[in-house]
Amino acid sequence: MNRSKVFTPRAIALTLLLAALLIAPFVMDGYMMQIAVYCGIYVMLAASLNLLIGYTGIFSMGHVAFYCLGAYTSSLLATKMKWSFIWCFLAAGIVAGIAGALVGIATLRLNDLFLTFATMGLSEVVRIVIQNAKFTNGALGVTGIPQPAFFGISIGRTGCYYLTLAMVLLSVFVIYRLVHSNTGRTLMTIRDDAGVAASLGINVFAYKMKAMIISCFIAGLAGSIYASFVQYINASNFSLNVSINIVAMVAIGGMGTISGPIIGAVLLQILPEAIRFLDNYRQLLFGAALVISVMFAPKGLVGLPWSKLGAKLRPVKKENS
Amino acid sequence: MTMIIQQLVNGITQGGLYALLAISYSLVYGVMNMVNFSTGSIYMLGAVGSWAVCNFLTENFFLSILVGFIVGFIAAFILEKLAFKSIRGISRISSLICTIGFSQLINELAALIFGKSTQGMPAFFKQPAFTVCNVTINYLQLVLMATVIIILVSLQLFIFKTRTGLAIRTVAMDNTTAGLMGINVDRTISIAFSLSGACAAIAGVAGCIYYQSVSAYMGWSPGIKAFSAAVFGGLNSMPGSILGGYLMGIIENFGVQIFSTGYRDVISFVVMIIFLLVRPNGLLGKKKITKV
Amino acid sequence: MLYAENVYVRFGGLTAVDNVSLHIAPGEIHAIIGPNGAGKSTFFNAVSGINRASEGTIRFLGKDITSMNQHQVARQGIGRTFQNIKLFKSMTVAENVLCGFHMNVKSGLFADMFGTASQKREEEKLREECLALLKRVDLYDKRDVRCTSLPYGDQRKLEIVRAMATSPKLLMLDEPAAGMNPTETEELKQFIKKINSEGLTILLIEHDVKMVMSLADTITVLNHGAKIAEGSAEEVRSNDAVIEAYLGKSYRKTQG
Repeated sequence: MNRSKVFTPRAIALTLLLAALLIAPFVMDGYMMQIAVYCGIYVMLAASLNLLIGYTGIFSMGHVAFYCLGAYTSSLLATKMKWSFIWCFLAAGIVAGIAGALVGIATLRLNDLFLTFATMGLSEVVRIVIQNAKFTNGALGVTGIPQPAFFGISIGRTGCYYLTLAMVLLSVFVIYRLVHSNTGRTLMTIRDDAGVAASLGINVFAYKMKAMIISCFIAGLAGSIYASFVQYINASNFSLNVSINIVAMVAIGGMGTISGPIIGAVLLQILPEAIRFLDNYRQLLFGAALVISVMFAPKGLVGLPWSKLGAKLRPVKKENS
Repeated sequence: MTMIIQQLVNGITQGGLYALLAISYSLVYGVMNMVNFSTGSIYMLGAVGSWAVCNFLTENFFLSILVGFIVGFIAAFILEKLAFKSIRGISRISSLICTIGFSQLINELAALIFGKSTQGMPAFFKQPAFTVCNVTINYLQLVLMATVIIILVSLQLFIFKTRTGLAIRTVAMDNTTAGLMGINVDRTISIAFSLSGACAAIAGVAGCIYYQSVSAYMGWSPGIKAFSAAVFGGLNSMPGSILGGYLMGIIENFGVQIFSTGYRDVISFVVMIIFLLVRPNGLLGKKKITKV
Repeated sequence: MLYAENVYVRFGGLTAVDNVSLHIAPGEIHAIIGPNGAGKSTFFNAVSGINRASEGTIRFLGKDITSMNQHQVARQGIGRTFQNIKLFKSMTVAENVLCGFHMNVKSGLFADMFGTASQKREEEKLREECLALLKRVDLYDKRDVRCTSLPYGDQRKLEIVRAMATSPKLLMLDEPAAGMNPTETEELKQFIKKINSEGLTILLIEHDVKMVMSLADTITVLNHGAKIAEGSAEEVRSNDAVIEAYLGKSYRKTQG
């Protein structure tokens, strides 16, 4: 590989960003750390939902259910079965992935609008069942969830930050690779026209299932991180509003792009914290983000004509002939 | 026996509300080929409107219904003119995202003005009308059932007997051709949309009077359940969605009797999902043959 | 290579395809013509698995494909295009064709997820093949153009090329000349002849009778879902039933 290819402005910017993220815990207080971890969790959720909405054209409104299943699987295994974190973590992803497959079998053959409402309904069913069931402690929630520990050593809140960062990087990397491979291309053909995709020999249902399982797996991992970071979960944390918020992050950032959901998640997570008075209007903000993204920025923030704006700001070059 | 009749009466009363909301969905789906997620929010606006009437003016049932009608009509009219008109023709995912956004916005704005707490509604017609098999049916239930039926019948008459109704049906079939035939498509869609809003808001008035409570978030669950009902009956068929609404109300009430109240919402969702899997076009829905 | 025998397709009470039998020999250009609503597209869709034949069997290279799904049919080696051009609108010319190579790709989900070396090699090879194909059909210069900004004729061509990328043994074209002007039609005709001479068997539906007459080796005429004539261009042209279907009874009387 030659030098000029390695030192592109984008590569430099990404390296600097990564370096900043790595040293960030040394300058952050506990509160900022918490926001950073939440941001990371939502980046995972938004990026994984984007794989469905943005790349495959499956508008699932039930993403919160898989997040919830991940959180509950992980915390119940940790508190009741005393499993160590790594197994709880993996189990969370696997359970969410299996649930995703089941939901996929039930809904992926439906017309797109019905799929949205069916997933929404299923996610409410999950929440209500968890809220009423005995083995999940019902409405009381699960308390005393241990922090992530490796080989018996708890990694603490700073450790949680790095764990989240690593998982965010891994999931974004995987999604990036996927999108730039045959699988991703295939998903996009399904999004553009499933009928034509089938005429090219693509097993549309199988590919939709793959997207669903991967997406739900990541959501489950995010749930496990959330549960062990907060150490207390309750079914009411996983209402439909969370799904709507994730959709808002994807939509405002830019559907079908890699950076869009990341930017959307970080922005919508930080904005209410940074601007104090917005905190009371959090849901209002998400609602507005949804409306704005469709009506004024259909390609999201990423899709806005930034380069044109840049060209306008730059001094106009005089043409010498 | 007592239980069955009791649940049947409750189911039909509640089903009437779902039927009104379901027809609101199917009206919009017909002319605009989109699902208006903010239907539940308009339901809530109607309820808040009637609460305002009862609180600040006079405790009158019929005035409440009238105000609900007006509030819903105007709210939907504004929504359509402001937003949905300009996004007509975009992908179904985007239009759904947009209506979800509006639903959130309306609910939250209402919560800001109205407050997040639940308010009570005065009791209307609470005196018992008659008793069958130990089941007492009060006037309120009768009045609500009658109101719903009158509105559904007049809506059907409007759609099948008037010129504007004909225009709505034409636009629902093919709006390009309708436009070529000299029908003002924009105006027709606007009317249909506003009417759907009015239906939803009347359902809201009826709902808040029936349960005697109003809150900014009350539209959520009826909104989603009524959509299930519309799908259950057949989203592209108006009689289907009415039937679906009533059946959903009845199923839900019997379900609650069998399981527990905690699972009230689960029942309707499960019914919807099972139905979608077995009969994707609903009870009375027609299958669309898509041309390749 | 394609044997359709006594195929019926019914929608409720309507019989859209009524007892049609059809044999396609390897290497030929076979055309199906007929007036509007004759059941041509429905027959096409029955072959490609979009709607099932209600009765009868369709065999391709000895395999029964009657009840196969669309993607299974494609895997047997039948490529197709659509009446109203269907391209992947968000993609460029090259990306559209790349999608056509889907069936040749061997790397699995996990290789794609983590970008293994073999997956990257394969992707590289795929790109080369794709560009080679584009060169062969004179679309190379437009490879990075968004497909929607191509001129109409080229969009049609791109759709055909995308189907060719699946390396089909039989290519089915659904009204390829629809909406084209005479120059574009002529170019298309030459293009179809060219790919046929390279060994691809072609089945096409067409409205443009003039084009079909000079292109097809065998012509099948459908009317009201039933086959009314079959043969070479000459035979079909002089067939009474065909003249009647196209021009009505009165025309034949005045001629006779």
